[in-house]
Amino acid sequence: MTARRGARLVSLGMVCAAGADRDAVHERLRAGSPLPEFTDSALASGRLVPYGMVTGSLPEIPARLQKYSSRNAQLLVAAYQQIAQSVEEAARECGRERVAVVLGSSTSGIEEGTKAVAHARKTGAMPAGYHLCQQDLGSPALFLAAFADLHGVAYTISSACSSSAKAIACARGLIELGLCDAVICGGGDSYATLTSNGFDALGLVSDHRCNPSSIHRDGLNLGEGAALFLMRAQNGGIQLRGVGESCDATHFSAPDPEGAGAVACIQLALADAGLLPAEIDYINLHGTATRQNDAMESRALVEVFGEGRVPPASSTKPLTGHTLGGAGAIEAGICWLTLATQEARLPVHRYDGEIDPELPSIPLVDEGQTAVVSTVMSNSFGFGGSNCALIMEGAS
Amino acid sequence: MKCFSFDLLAWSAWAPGLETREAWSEWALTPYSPTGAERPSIANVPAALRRRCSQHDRMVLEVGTNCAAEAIPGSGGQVPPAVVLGSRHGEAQVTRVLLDLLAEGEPLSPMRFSLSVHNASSGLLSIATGNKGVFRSISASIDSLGAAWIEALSLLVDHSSVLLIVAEEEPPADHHPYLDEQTAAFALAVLLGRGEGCQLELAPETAPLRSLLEVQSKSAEQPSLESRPLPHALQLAAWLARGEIGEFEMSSLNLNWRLAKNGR
Repeated sequence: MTARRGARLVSLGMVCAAGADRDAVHERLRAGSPLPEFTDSALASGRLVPYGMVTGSLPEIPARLQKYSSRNAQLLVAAYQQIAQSVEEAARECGRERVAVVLGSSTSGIEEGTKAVAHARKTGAMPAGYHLCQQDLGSPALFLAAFADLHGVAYTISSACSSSAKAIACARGLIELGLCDAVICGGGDSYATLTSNGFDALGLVSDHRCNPSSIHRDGLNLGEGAALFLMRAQNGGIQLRGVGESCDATHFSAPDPEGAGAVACIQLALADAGLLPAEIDYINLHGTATRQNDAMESRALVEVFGEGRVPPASSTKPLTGHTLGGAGAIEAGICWLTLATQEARLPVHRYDGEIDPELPSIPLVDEGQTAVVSTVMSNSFGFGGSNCALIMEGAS
Repeated sequence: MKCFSFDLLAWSAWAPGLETREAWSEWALTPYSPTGAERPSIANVPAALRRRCSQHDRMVLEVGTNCAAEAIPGSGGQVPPAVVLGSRHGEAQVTRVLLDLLAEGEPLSPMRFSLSVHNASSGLLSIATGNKGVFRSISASIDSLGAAWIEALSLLVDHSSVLLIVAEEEPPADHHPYLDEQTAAFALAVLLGRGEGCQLELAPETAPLRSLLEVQSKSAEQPSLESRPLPHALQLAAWLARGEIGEFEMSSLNLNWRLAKNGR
């Protein structure tokens, strides 16, 4: 294989239930920080369930881009504002046509579309402010490219819960291909009546704060948010070191119980990074707290890393909710923050402490646990058996 | 300008009324937007899986399995290809059924919800073909072919072959006023391999203004649906069905695309 170009994750912007920006999220990861408030969300079934809502005000969409206006676009702008300076710097140095945008999303602005359909069924016409671009799945990337006035290629990856992890993988591919020198990558999902009720129909939503790896776990909490990186074709800093992708090819909405697809994508990511399992210092779990995911994921990790040799791991879903198409980027963001800090603290696995004895044992990160962390992995597993593992490496 | 070389190992297309190579050759003389309610048979897909397929899924499975079967053995047919699926509208029809149920306060079917995601068809294709490799599901409005093609080029760096699929169902009728290209029902699959058979040139557009932004929202000046351009993937299908003669050109993603066979 030819030597890869560098894939440096220069800057990070994020917004989610855990915090309104990168620093607030970082603070939330600190030992002893309270869990963020989740919002009570009403489902069509009559249930009231916790939802990881972004509660602060969000930036307005400029008038010239009004046809893209959606909560999803607003979340992207909120994340973009935190990296805008580094993006402008890259555009100045490389040319605006050399900066691409590749985002992952499963919702785009489907909530605006949902309201429009309800309106049309009552009145016979779509509402005046509606445009299909609000909900087109391609819109997140096209909107952000237009917002930031970037002229490189722009498109959206949509593969459910692996969307934005894959978008980060694709960004490196674009740099390798030589089509650009910098890429805004990551993604986001916004609150949607459709996904909330869809996951309820699947019986996957908990009434309580999600409780990953616990014997009492009974499902996930959904959430919304966005995370964006500027990736540049440079060495140094925090690097995207390896990616692995696989497909279960078994069942549509449930993971392969044996975790074969998860094992494959983790092994591929390690091979791509040229690393041995023992060289991974921390794993951010997909850790949704559904019965099936946590069982499958623990099994897969023990198979790849060996019994007693799985590195410290945690699910950060209790802080963010499961942000679906945004989860891969938000969790890569949490990994980036963990690598960027000098304090060597690991994101704590927040749960009731009653580990499910049926699960193959993996070392969940305790309050205050520290470690020298230079290489981290983040896992994402989605509908359609779509799996993606990312490996990032900090400055040595 | 960037140049990329690859082999076009096989292609397959399906649309209502256009089910054979001969029909596509005839169509390519005067291409039009195929529409209609016919469904592909996907006879080689197990019945249990077939029952779950939307029209979009059926078209993806039809061209995806046919294209792989047509590939010449030894030139990429053995190792399952990486797969890229590009679609603007994806499962818009399945999604609309769900939105109608929500508007009525009716419960959602869990199966239908899980098959409303954009990667439903690629997930079903992975199950139908046992392909456990890399699948990427992409959307980029009118540039969905261009975006999927760029992903295919990127995947060819590490894979010996890539199956590039573009499929569109006709979107729900009340979406039509917001569209900037003709609506159509079709699917096109192209199997790309490493090689020198074709050359693709990508040059920056001289006026890099996204044409999409210039299209005004729903207004009186909107051209009639028929006078809008054919989707890029149908333009590519016409070039393929005419025997890959001359150059295929399009403007997509702020790039001018020029594709030609080598040695012609």
